[in-house]
Amino acid sequence: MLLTVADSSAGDPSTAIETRETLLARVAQGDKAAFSDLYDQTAPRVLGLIRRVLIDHAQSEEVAQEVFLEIWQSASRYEPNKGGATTWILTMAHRRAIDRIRASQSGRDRDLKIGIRDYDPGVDDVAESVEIRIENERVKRAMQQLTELQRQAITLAFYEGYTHSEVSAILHVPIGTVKTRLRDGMIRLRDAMGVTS
Amino acid sequence: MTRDDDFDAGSLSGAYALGALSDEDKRAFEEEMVASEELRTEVAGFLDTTSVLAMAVEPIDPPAALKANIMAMLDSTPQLAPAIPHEAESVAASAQTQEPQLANVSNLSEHVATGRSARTSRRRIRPLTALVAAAAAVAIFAGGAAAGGLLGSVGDERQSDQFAALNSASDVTREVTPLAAGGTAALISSDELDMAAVVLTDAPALTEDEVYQLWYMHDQTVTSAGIVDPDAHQTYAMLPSAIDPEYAVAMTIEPAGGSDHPTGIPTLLTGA
Repeated sequence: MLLTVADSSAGDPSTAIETRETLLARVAQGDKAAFSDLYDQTAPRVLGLIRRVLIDHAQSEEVAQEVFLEIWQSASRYEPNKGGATTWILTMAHRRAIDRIRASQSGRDRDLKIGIRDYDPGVDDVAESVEIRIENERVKRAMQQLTELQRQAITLAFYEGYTHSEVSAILHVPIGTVKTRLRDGMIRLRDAMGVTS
Repeated sequence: MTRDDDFDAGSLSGAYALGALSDEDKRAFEEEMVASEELRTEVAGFLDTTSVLAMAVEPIDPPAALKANIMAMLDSTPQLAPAIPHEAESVAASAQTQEPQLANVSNLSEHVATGRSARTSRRRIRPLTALVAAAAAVAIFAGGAAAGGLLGSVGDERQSDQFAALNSASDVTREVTPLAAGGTAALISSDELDMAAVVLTDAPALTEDEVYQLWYMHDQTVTSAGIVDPDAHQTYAMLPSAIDPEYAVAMTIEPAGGSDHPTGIPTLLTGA
């Protein structure tokens, strides 16, 4: 279930003698040095992802702080047999970013944003602006395996933090269709990226 | 059953992994996942996939201050113990009493795992909890019936969630007071979440006949905020609301069961 890709883009694996899984296990024992190493290895990824979703820089740093304190607190709850440490950490970061974006104030801004997009036929721009940021060739190639609708739906949900009902409103497709496109798209992405599970 | 009839967990795995479900759907989906190996496997594969998506985002080097802040907060951020289920004697004992309950950090998981007795304990506590929740913050401190201010029973898994949420609140404040006999008492509070907790770290062990008792002090009024009986390296107890700057919080050593008025020498835990 571990990422085979793994961290080709997230650091030099040859120098990472201690895996993040091992570091997490040490963090669970209260090892601050291990926490410090884990932070150094993952913080740029965590902050990058949160910032991508939240846009706002100050808020992104706040959320990154929340994420790392949660890692410290709940490292013992990480179960290596259920997935890689990087996945665990990035999933946590993504969830917290999403939680933040759905909190009241930003919610109102986003309603407005959805309203604007509603009148804007150029929805493709959203996906394209994301694609520019996608440096990872493998993801880019995998994304090309998707239908246009799958790609847009996944992009809006993951990188922009929209709920499936928001995605449905933005793309003008029924919510049931969004659900199935998200799932079909994820299956295709998973297979295209060679993630085994 | 709170979800709609048309709730179909199988079709939501993609949306779930992408974080695209509403809170309600997310909860319903997670319930389904507990029972379905198939869903769990699919979600695990999807999460590995989303983490590749996450790594396609350009990394940002965080400012050095961020790490310094985080490292400085580790000492006052207790860690959860691994979730290893086994019998917890203390739960049965806790269910006997209406005293405010506290969760022992290293025992949290056993309490959570002890379904039946913990549930009994929760049911007993609920009226008090409801009363406290319904009352305005100030009334809580003044009211005699709800004077045991510590919310959440042992075995209440929401308490550990609340504690985790509190510690990572963006406006969290931590006030750490060294105890004369060694160890520290930390008051953790968030106005945004309107929650607070007391964390005892390496507090001196007491005899069986003694407990730590917390007090709210305002004007000439002193009200019990509940008792804390540290039996581990670190013990925390949730308070029903954020620390009101108008109130001082103090701690004394009292006879088992707590006292109506402080009889021990108080240690002030707040600046007020």
